[in-house]
Order: sequence, then C-alpha cells, then structure tokens
Amino acid sequence: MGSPLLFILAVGAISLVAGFIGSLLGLGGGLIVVPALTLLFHVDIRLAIGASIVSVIATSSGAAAAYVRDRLANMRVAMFLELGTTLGAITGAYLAGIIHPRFLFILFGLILGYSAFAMLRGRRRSEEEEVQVGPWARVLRLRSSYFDDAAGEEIIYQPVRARIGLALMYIAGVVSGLLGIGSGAMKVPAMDLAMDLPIKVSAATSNFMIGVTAAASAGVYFSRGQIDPFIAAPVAIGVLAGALAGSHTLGRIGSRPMRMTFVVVLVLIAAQMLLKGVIG
Amino acid sequence: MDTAITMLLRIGVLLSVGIIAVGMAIAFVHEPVSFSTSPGAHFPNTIGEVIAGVRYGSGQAIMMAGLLVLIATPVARVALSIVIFVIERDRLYAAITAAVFVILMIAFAVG
Repeated sequence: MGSPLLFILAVGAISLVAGFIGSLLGLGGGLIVVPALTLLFHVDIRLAIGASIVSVIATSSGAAAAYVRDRLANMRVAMFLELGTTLGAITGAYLAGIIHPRFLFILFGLILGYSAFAMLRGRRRSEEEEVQVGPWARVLRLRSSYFDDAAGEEIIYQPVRARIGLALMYIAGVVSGLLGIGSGAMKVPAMDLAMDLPIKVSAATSNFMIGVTAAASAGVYFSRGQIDPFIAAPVAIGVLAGALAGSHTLGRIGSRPMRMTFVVVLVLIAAQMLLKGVIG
Repeated sequence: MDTAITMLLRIGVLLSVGIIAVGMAIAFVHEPVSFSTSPGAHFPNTIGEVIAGVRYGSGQAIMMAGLLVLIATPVARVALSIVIFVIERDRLYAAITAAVFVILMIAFAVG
C-alpha cells in the first residue's frame, strides 16, 4: 500500500458510504467494508473482519442518538429482542466448530433470498383482518408511534407476534455468532414480516440493536489481535460520519422506496452468501 | 429515558472520535514506521497493553483506546437502561435489560 495518509483517506471515504447506507437500512455495513478492504486494499481477511465489527458498532452508535430522539427506534422492542440476539450470539460461538460454514452460508443465503421475496410481495393482510395482539405484545407494552417526515403524519403502530420475533432474533444471533457477520439483514425482515413494524421503525430498531450484538463479539476479536488500529480507526471515523448523515435522512425517505432498496440489497447479500457457500 | 440514552451515545461517540483523532495525529508525527497493514504486525490486544501504551504516549495505543471506548458505548447503553428502568420502577424492563447485560458479560468472559 502506498502512502499511509492516502490509505486512511480512501478507507475513510468508503467507510463514509458504508455508514450512510448501513444506518439507513439497519445493516452493519460489513457488506461494503469487508470486500472493499480485502479486494481494493489487499488487507488480510482476518483484519478486515475485525474492522467490520468495529464498523457495525460505529453504524449503530452513530445513528442511534437521532433514531432514539425521533422515536424511529422502538427501545422496548429493541431491548426485548436483544435477549434473543445476545443469547444466540453465545450459542453461535459454541457451535462454531461443529457446523460447517459452507452449509451455513447456503442456508443463510436461502433464508435471505426468501425474505427478499416475501418483502417484495408485501403483507397480504388487508385492513379488516387485523392480527390479534397476543398477551406478550400487550404485557411488554410494545405499541408506539413516530412522526413520519415523508408522510407528514404521526404513525401509530402495534407490534404483534413478539414470541416469534424473539425466536427469529435468537436465530439471527446464532448466525452472526457463527459467521461473524452482522445479522441486520435478518433482523429487519423479521421485524417487518413477523412483527408488523413499519419498515423505517424496523431499520432504526435493528440499527439500535446491532451495536450490542457486535460489542459482544468485538471483545473476542480484540483479544485475538484482529483489530488493527490503523485499519479500524479510519473505518470507525468514516462510518460514524456516514451514519450520522444517514440517521438524519431516514425520516425523510418514503417507506416504499426504502422497502424496495432494502429488497435489492437483501438480494445482493443473499447472492454473496450463496456464492461463498458454493465456491467455499 | 430517551434524553439520557441519547446523551450517553453522543458522549461515547464524541469521546472515541476525539481520542482516535489525537492518536492518529501522534502516530503521523512520530511513528510513520508503525503504519503497517500486514498480517504479521503486532498491535495491543489486551487492556493492560493499551493502558501501558497510552502512558508511553504511543499513537497506536491511543487510537486503540478510542476504539475500545467505541466498543464499550453500546454496553454502557445497556447498563444505563437498567438504572433508568429501576428508577422508573419498571420491573419488567429492568429485568429484561439486566438479563441482556448478564448475557453480554458471559459473552465477554467466555470469549
């Protein structure tokens, strides 16, 4: 690699884009950071993954302040579901040696592909057949509202199927523990499809949650010496700036274009996973 | 609740950016040799090593300290939430967040 300054500026610029997109869609940004570091800058894959886990935390913390303030992130939903993601992450770490990653990449790719298809088709639910609010969603007081800048009105929503959501988050946590990737790609469809959250709330809440899951694995990466400050620092600063910009943009985007963008990105991630699983 | 969490996140982010920037500046002025992205390079990977490096004034260690502050921010957010729920006498959510915190600590301990 040429000049260190050039390296830092280039990595910072790419990370800025990753943070912006990641914070808008509720994803970690590893999707962009890992291939950029390994393919463009020939960074060792282990160090790229270490930088990617830092980018997930930066995306989450950089955007969360604005999402909490604007009530786009539902903190009750997040804290309840974090039970599943963190427990899943530990399980995943234990299973790591037992299950073959290739099999997992294929399975995860298929799940994401199906999620993209289901999100594209949209909810079949018509206005009159309201899903009944179960005891869990009621006891947990998950109902909330936010002001949608794009629609120009207050949106009141009632999350449902809290138990299914929790189970899906556990699986998402296992996957992220096993594959070392942020499971935002699975969290957003789970909240959107199973729990009936508005798409923007799903993205902002996922963004709020991914930092906690990633922090759990970041400790491991740190002690294994996978976090190189000269790579992770420009990534962190770039991503934080991008996430800050993204968090002020989400409210103003229409829900439909946002959903479509998410579906496209989901298809890309699914393809990337399947490719990794097949080629190895 | 919202205000306290927002404040904590802002402070955590600003603090880490500030520390990383200082570390980067020092590294640029004093240690251009240590700029390496090769897999063989060594960098601090224990808290003790980071603290020792910061005392010594190593730019690399200061950058790492800033990264650790960033990593600790979501954990601090969970800890603060427990306190707030307890103050608000919200037993259910105090228990949920406390459980998340315990799981996180187990993750750190076994990892």
